Parts: sequence; C-alpha cells; structure tokens
Amino acid sequence: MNALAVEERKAVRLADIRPVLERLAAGGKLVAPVAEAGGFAFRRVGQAEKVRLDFYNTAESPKDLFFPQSEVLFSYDAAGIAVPEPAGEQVLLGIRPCDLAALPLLDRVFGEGPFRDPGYLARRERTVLVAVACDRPRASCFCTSFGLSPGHVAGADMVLYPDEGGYLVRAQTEAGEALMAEWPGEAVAPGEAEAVAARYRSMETPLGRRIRLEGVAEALDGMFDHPMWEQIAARCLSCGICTYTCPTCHCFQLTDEAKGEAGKRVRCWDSCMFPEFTRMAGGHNPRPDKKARVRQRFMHKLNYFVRRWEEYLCVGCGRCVESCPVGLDIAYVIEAVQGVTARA
Amino acid sequence: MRSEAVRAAARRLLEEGKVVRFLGHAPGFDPTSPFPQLITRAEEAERLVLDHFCAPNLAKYLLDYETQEGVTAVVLKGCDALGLARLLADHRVARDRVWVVGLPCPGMLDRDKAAALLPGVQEARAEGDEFVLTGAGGERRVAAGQVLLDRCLVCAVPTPDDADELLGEPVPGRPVPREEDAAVAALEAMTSAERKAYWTEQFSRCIRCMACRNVCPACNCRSCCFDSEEPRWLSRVTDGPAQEMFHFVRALHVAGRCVDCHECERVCPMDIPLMKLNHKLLQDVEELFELERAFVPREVEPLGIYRPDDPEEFA
Repeated sequence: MNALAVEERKAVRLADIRPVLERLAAGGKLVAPVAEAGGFAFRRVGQAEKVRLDFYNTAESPKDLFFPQSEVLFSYDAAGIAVPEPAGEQVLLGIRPCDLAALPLLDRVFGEGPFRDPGYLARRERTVLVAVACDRPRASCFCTSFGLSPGHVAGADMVLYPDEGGYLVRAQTEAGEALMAEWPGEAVAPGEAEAVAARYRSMETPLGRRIRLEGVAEALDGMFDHPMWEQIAARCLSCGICTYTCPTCHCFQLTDEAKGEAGKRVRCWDSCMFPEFTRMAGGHNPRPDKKARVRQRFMHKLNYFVRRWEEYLCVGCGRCVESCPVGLDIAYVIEAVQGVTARA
Repeated sequence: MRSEAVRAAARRLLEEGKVVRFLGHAPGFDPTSPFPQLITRAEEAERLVLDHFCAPNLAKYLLDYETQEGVTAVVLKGCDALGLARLLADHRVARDRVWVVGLPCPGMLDRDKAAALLPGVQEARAEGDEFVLTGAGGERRVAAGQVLLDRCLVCAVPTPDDADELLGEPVPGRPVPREEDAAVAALEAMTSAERKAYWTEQFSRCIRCMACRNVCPACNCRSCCFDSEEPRWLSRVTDGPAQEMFHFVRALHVAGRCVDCHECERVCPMDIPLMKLNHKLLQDVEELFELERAFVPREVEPLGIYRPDDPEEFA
C-alpha cells in the first residue's frame, strides 16, 4: 500500500472510539482483540462492544490471520479438484508494534524468492492494518533490542495512539486514509500528531530490558557443538508453546486427509520442538534429541535467518518468555552466547 | 524461602559423590518465573533458588536421564513427588537412581494472580496465613487464598512422603474441601448438548502445543499415539473434530493414573480447564472401583487390569 509522507498524513482525535468500532464491526470485516476465558485473542468481531484495547498482549500473535494454523489448500473427489476461494477483505484492528514488525519477516518467507504463497499474499493484500501504539508493554517485552519501540508502526495503514484519555488516529497509507474518510473526529495538525508518534517511538519497555545483539549471529557460526546447548535443553519441556505463540515462527507440514475417494490437502503449523518434525520417511531423524531441537530453534532465529535475510527472526514480543511453563527465555540464550564470546 | 538449604544440599550431595547431577530451580527472566536448572558441579550450587514461585514439577525431567549413568538428585514438592511415584509405578524410573530432596511445601504462588495484586512483583515471603509481596510497586500483604495456585489451596500432600532428605519440617496438608467435586457436579448437571457446547468452546482455543502432555507425569509413554505419523491417529487440523479427539484421548489415557498435580492446567497457554476432565475421571474411577484417593499411584491401575470375570462384556 502506498505510504504517505509524514506531512500528508491526516490525523484526528477521538475522545470516544466506539462509534468507529461500531462502523467497522457492522461491515463484518473486523478482526480485533477480545477478552475470552483464556485471555485476550484476535477474533472476528460482530459487535463493537466486544473489542478491547486495554490488554497487555494476546496469548497468540495475529499471524494466524495470514498464516492459519490449519489451511485447506485444495480438496478433491472423483469429480475433480477444488481450490478454496481466496480470502476476502478484512480490517485487523489492534495489532501491536511487535506483531506488526513480524509481518515483513513472514513476507520474506512466503512472498519472496521463486516460491510465493498465494494464500498468504492474498490475505496480506486484503487486510487493512490498524495498529495501536503500545501503551501496555510487559516486563517480558524487549522489542527495543531489535530497533523497534512501542511506537514502531511502519507497515500499518492506520495507527491509533492512546492519548489524553482518547485516541489520536493517524493514516499512514492511502488505504488507511480511505478508511478514515468515514470517521468522525476533530482534525489534528501534522506537527501535533508527529509529536505524539515521536513520544511513543522514544518509549522504553517497563524493565528497560535491552539485549545486546552485536556479534550474536557471528558467534553462533562456531557454536553448533558448544556444550551450552546441553544446559539450555536440560530446561526445555519439548512443547510447542514458544513456536506457536511466536509471531515470526512459520514452519508447517502438509498432509492429505483422505476418506474413500475424497480428501483434502491441509497445511498445518508444525514446530521444530516436536520430535517428529524432522523424522524422515525411512525413520531416520537428523535431530534425534532435545538438544538438537532446542538448538535448531535458537539457531534459526539468531543465525540461519540472519544469514539468509540479514535480520533476526525475533521481534522481542516476549510471548515465548511469558508463556513458557518452565521460564526458558530467549534473552537468556542470547546472553549465554554473549557470555561465551566474552570468555573466548 | 529455602534457597540456602537447597544450595547446601546440592553442594553436599555433589561433593560426596552421592549424585552426579542435581535438578533444581534457578532464577528466570524475572524472579517470578524460575526455570529448571541442572547442575553437575558443587560450585554451581550458587545458581539454585527455592522460593514461592518454584511451581514447575521437575519429576518428568528424570526421564531425560534414564539412559545416563549415575544418580540424579531432584527437588520435589509433595505434588511433584506423586509424579515421581507415578513414574516409579510405571517402571519408567528406578528408585535407586534418584535422590529425592523433598520440599515440605508451604504452597506455590500463581504468578498471574501475584502480578495482578502487585504489578511488577519480584519477591514473596510467607507470614502466617498471608504473603508479603514486594516489587517495584512497593509492598503488599495479601491473604494466602488470594495468591496461591488453585491446586495449593486444596493440597492434601504438601510434604513428599518418600524423600531421601527433607528441606525443613513436614507441613500439614490443608483440609481438602473438594471444590473440584462442585465443578464436576456442575458439568454433570448440564444436558449433553450444553456439555458438548462447553467443551467445544474450550477446546476451540487449543493450539495443540502439547505442553499438557509433556508436563504430565502420567503421560510417560516412550512413544505417544499423538506423535505417530504412520498411521496418523490424530489429525493436526485445529478447527475440526480432532480437537475433541485430542483432549478426550489425553484425558482417558490418564484416567485413574492422573496424580492430581494440576501441572497440565498450569502450563496451558490458553487456560483450558483440563483438570475438570481429569477430576471427572478420577471421581469415576474412585466410585466405580471403590478406591480412596484414586490419584495415589499404584503399580497396576484399575483400567490396566484384565480379568476374565470382568462384569463388563466389552472389557
């Protein structure tokens, strides 16, 4: 979507956001955070009053909206093959800076190179992103370590900045502007809006948790066989929480679910933490133990992806840290790598 | 709470060569989230902590060392020790290869409850029937009932009864009001359509991370039907009937074998009330087979016996 220059961005102030939410919800295309028994989650919303923006973070990232946990790629029967209709338009409201920063990383995997994922790309293209600047970071957050901030909103069509008890809303793209054209609100001068945006960009996370990343990818080049991995793996429960709640993890598996003459090919999330993830047809498993699997997760995020795309596959959202039932912290792993380099 | 005591025990056991490794807890990214810590040298004992946030059950980690030489020392609370008893009864761990450092447990705190009561909480100490939480936000005194994990509120077995040594004097169990009976009764009072709707909604949140299975001391099979690719017993599809299939099979496979430790519920990132299912099955086993405290592990469990004179035709 075409980004607008800072001085061209329209901004309005809304004391009450409800009328806007009502309008979006009535369109039937709204996906937003709601409170449910298990915490906060992004769900398709029919009633505006269900939308909640006062949360720390959702248990799951919104990556499922672009890269669904289960997706039918095609189905077949004796009559032929049917490919599902491409996704319709949607408005994703309430995406946080960390999750927003994860999308360009997924775009590289699913949208660049010779193999492009049409389903993913259609969903990306047909989703208007209404980000909310982060006014509630958690103790486990460390987005600032990756050059991000509670005000990092690049890639959003529109941004809601919690401000003065209401919201300052700013369009960033033509699509955002088009959506905003229908909105009420008192116009705000570009300079004033930019000042609010700048304030969020300079915000620190609550614990000011900042991890030094210099040299981490390089150091890991020579650490494949380091005894450190044994120590780290000794803590792991081998569950998939970290990878499934991660906004950047993107591994999947394909299966055919057949019954009689009909069936479907389904793509489902998979996790490098699971023993069968790398099990081959003949039974051989190149990552036979927990150490190999734990190492893979961190190597992928902090080394392989960097070598491939020159970026870390982590945005510091803190979900893996927060949800890990045994407190296994990626920041601890990064610090361990730094410790090894310091001793070398 | 008992950090010094656990460090001293680890140092002594490793120095004396009584054990080759020691499994305890160490401070995580914040003190309310400690992680399991394996140490093999006495000088590493300084890393260990033992406080009111050490909820994770370390018993299951013993399986990681089943093929390795030497005795493993492990810090266990009363509930964790039932997990070990399960592994022993199932012949997955040999008792002489484990040295149990038992913690007479005063109860573990629920870090979400603690954080809600005092944002930024970093420490907790028990004072009588209260806890004093301290953190960046100051200090706050709260009733134990407000901040303990649900499971600790009804704990009948705070002190491991099979420990090789205890870190402190045994703690009496709290009288168990059996709140779970009420939860199960509420489920039983529903019509089957209501119950179906209830569980479908609960299971719809499941992301199939397998944490509930992995943490469960009763889920200790060498290979699990859920992991099987050939044949694939369980579809990975998360928006269909496989969700129920997964949860009911998990619950039934631990029916009569669950030790009531509540770890599955604690680890679930989506807060699915798994213990309601487990409690229902525990109660059924208790009633049908006239067993007291169905969750105390036995070598042969009611659902693991074959008898030619079984009154059920299907058995």
